[in-house]
Amino acid sequence: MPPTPFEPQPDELSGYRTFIGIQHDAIRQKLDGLTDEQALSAPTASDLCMLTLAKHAAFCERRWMRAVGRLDMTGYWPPSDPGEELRVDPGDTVTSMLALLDEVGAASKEILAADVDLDTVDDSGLNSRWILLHLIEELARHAGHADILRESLDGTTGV
Amino acid sequence: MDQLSELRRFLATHREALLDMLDGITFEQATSMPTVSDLSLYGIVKHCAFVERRWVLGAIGRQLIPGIVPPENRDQEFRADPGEDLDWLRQFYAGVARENDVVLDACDPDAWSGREGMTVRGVLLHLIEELAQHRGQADILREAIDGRKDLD
Repeated sequence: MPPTPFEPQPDELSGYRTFIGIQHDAIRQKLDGLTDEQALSAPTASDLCMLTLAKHAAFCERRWMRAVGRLDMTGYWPPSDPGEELRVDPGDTVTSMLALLDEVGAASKEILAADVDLDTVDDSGLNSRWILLHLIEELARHAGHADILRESLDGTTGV
Repeated sequence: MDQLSELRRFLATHREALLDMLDGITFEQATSMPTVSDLSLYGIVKHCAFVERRWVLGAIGRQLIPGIVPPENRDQEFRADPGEDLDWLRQFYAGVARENDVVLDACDPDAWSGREGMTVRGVLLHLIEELAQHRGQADILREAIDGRKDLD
């Protein structure tokens, strides 16, 4: 069989690291290259636009990864401004959202480079195994939304 | 929950959600292409059944299946063949899941699979991300077909 494009996943944590990175990059790639006008338009029957989809994905990744890193959740969960991640605020542009995604992605890499306890259940009843799997599925599902949005905007397909 | 059980549970959740996308619509709606993409709900679900079969039987079970591993006509996986309908696809996918369960019951997530550089864990994680991504595509298609919104 042919080799795969994936980083090897010899241990459990490396598996999560590999696929969170792939899905993070997939969403970033679907945003990159759009104009602000394109990113703000809702080109399908859904009311989703690429800018808020990317913003929501970045906020999700940041708060779930902070939980995995056992970092202070004040303001992140519950969110201090619950509507913020699905709202376009002044200053929200393709450029600013790419920067946010990069910042969040770098923080995720740092957290997953350390030892992560995958089994211990935290105060909310979740362990990091579940959180990391959930983050993969959530980012991937949004990447699927982004596939159709991006193709509707400029015909771009594939990753 | 241990690693393998959790991986299988996430995979099953997305499979069930994809099959649920076919409920409440007609075969014509399911095979329509309601966005600029050439994807249909039927095609997405059929493709996912082939994907699961290919990775679990092929990569984890190390079996060669003519026409499936390696894929002979990937484009056809996204289309309905003559004689197929929604019930056929539901039964086909249920059969794939049953056959895969036999392989997964006996697998070790730490073992290397038949795909170079991929452990069994990696195959299952890849399947979860692929099914979840296709589910996201299906979310948009379903909303375009009849306005159903699955996202909270």
